[in-house]
Amino acid sequence: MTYFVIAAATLSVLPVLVLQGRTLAHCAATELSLAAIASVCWWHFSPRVEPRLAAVTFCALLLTVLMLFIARGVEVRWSAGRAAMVALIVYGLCVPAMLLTPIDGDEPYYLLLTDSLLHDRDLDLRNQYRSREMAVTGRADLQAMPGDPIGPNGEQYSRHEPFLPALMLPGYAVAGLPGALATIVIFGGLLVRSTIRMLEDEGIDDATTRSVFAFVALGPPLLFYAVRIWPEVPAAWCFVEAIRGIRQRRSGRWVTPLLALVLLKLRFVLVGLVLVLRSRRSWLAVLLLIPMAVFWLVSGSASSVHTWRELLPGVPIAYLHGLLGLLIDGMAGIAFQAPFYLLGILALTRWRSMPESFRIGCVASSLYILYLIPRAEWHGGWSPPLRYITFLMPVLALGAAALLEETVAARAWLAPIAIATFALVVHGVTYPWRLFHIANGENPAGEALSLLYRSDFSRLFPSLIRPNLAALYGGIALAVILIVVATRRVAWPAPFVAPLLAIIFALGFSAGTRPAARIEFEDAHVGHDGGQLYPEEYTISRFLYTGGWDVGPGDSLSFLARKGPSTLRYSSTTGATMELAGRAYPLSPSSHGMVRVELPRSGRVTLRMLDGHVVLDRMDHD
Amino acid sequence: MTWLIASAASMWACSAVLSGATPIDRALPLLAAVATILAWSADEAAIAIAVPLLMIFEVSVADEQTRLLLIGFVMAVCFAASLARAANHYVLAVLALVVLRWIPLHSVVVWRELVLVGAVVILIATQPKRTPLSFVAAVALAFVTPAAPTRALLTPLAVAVLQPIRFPAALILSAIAFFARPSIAELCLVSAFFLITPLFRSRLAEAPFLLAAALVMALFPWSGAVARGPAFLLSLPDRSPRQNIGIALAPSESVVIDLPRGTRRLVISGATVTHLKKGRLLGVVEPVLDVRRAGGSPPAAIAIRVGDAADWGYMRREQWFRSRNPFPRRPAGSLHDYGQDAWVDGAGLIELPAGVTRVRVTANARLSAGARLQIEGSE
Repeated sequence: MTYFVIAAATLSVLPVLVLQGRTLAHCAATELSLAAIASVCWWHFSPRVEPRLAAVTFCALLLTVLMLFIARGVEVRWSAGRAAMVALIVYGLCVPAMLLTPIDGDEPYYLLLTDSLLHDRDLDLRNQYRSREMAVTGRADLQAMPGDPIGPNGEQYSRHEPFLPALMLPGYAVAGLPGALATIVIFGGLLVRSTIRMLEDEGIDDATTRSVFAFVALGPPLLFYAVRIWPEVPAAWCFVEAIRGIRQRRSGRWVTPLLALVLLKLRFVLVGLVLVLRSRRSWLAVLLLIPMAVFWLVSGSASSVHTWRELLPGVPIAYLHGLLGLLIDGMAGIAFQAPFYLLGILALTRWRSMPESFRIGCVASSLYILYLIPRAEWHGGWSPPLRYITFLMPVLALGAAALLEETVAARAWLAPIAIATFALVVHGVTYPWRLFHIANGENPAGEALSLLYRSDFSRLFPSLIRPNLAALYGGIALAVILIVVATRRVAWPAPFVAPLLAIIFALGFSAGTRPAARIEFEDAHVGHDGGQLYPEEYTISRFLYTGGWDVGPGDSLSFLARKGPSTLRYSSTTGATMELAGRAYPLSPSSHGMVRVELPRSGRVTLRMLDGHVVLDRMDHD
Repeated sequence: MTWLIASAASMWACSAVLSGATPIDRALPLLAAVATILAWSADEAAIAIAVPLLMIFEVSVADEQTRLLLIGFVMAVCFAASLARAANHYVLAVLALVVLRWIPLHSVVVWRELVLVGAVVILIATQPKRTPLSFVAAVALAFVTPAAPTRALLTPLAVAVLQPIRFPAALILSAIAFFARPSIAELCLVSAFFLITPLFRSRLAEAPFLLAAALVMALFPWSGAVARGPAFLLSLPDRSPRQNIGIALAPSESVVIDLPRGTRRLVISGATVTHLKKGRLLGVVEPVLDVRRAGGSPPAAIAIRVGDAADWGYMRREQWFRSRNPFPRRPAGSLHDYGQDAWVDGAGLIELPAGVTRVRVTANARLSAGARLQIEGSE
């Protein structure tokens, strides 16, 4: 409650920083009205809403009102510095929300490295992996990751580059974990400032810059990475500064950020290489060896855990798979996790008219993207969405801003994008643990609807993690849209934007309530009475496994299924017997077993295990 | 034509996702049409984004009250945005009345509502200056005007005629409100407010009323209760756990009730007492002391009057205009129905002395034959 009051009060006062005169008065009046209406409704009706969700939604609404006035107001005190201040304050308010659960993914390892630098003056984490030292992370289960470098004397090094921990050192020394997070928040503020300056440098007008500010600074993925311990936001800042330096043709301006970029994460050497080659000072490429030398000195391996084999081309279909995934995957794609940047993708079709910085940024990242997309972990692994391309978001924001200036039709889509962004932010701040998804082909929205209606809604969202039909249709739709935007032959009238979305939603809802052709037994819509997830939730690289539901005698599953013949896939070492729709089916031992089942009618059916153990994978209607 | 197609498509889409059981849910296609027309009127396509938003709330929010509140909030934002964009006041007023008065559709007497629509158009046309506040005042007057009896329908037209002598008329109407029954008093006060809106020169002075209008629109799922009992919005909601009793006493009838330990209040209402004015005696509550513990003077009997409680259905659409019961001093009523049919029952709280475990409740013998004193429960 105290945190909510502080957050609401701070957000209420924030308009003073950027607005003045009548615009400030109107903004304040609107926020007061909102507060009054919300209070009366809450007081009288006591809606059955989680208090935390209600509080975050209210604060997000206050922020939305401010952003609307910044975008459309007349008396706005606008500058890159003020924009950064607003972002800093919001990030600072979000940090306590993120600390509701212990830090996760790579975060605790970065913190352990910082702790080791501070207390031990080394990068050997052997003592940090003991429980006592791990208390600072809030985690007691940390172990060295498989493949982490081991020193000649048995030192346990981390695969993660030590530059970020070095940057967090002062903050961590002063205030521990919150201090480390404050360092990242500061980089977030710097990134916002640099991004706004980049937009201004490229001639994007003030009104457009103010319109896109909220999406970039306070929307995913930058918001979530600016309040957690990941190198993505510092890397994005370095990338933007490097691009700005190249644009200004001042090598002293961009060499340092470029070096810092590669020191933050070795994978960015692919970006640095292209930037350097493009700068017509190719000899500066030797500077990129400096970070590799640092890694070699620290861990004995110049490429950390990377090998030269990663430079070999992958299978062709993997490229399409990963690229589409980054664009349209329901859990890890731009379309559903940061929809604003779809405009940046569409801006690629107007290449020649796009600002120079946009083109530099896209070309510089092309080699990196080329090597990212065929990897199994293109979606980021155990991290908030869009991890590996977060550094590119400011560049895409520039493209989006340029597109908004060029075409009226693009502006008509800002309203639905704003709604989606609002929902994503509220969801991520209220349930920060849900930013980490087990990458099983589902997504939070699909899972929520599936649980509510006990029907498979996740299949309606494209998934390239567990490829589905929606991904095929989504890919085709995206291709059509790109062609239409590129040729400029058709402009979708603004009045049809909302009805189009409404129709898509209606059709989707109607389809979602009907039984699916494929039932994945681990999915949210399946009612599980007994049994457990296989492999278990926190298995490393779980997305590489064929998941399922591990059941034994007495366990049952219920789900909506279609009438007629279906093929059920399973794996069992001992064999098992199950009952489905009144018939018993023996399951012989097999690692890739299949059994044909027959359902007399469509509707909800219950599968019961009579004996034996089996991992049920999925059931496909013939 | 574009907007017409957009509206039709939005209505069809909303009809495909109806899952809630209330009249507000069933009116989703109508709300979609209203949102689209608002967007057209304000020349701001972004307002129509309310349509997919309404659909998302309809399918994803299972709790009824939360869902209806969110739907109300979306419509309030649509209207506020349209007003801010200086949309046509006539169009806005008609749409506002459709949302506030035409749901549920089956309760609508079309010709009466059309008369009110005509009246609000005349009110807006005769206003000396069109401002957001004057628009709100015109709609408010049409909003609180009962559709029956027919003479009540003439109120907005009468107010339009009074505009040349607005300030004296406002004073007289305010004076009448002091003495009149609640329904008439409400009409008089809102009419007086409409007449004095030209006095408001600054946005600061207008702000509270615009806020109230936004709140009313946000609560359109229960617009009837808001129109007939706005005081319920200002009252403290009663959330104490209630033990149901459910006894109705005829005039002079009496009953002794054993109460659970810790009972502090009785929940009382009346039946067939809408004609009674404030202060009229409905009955008495006499705490009955335990003989073994008797000592000292017994607690005094507590009078139950109109004003402590009201007729259970006094706020219903068909009873409201003739009702003389005021809103209970300490309301304990629940919200019933939806839209323009919504009402709050007239239950009120009667405070009991501490430690009372048995009471005798007696209905006033002078109540009319059909009247009842209802003991709803205890808290």
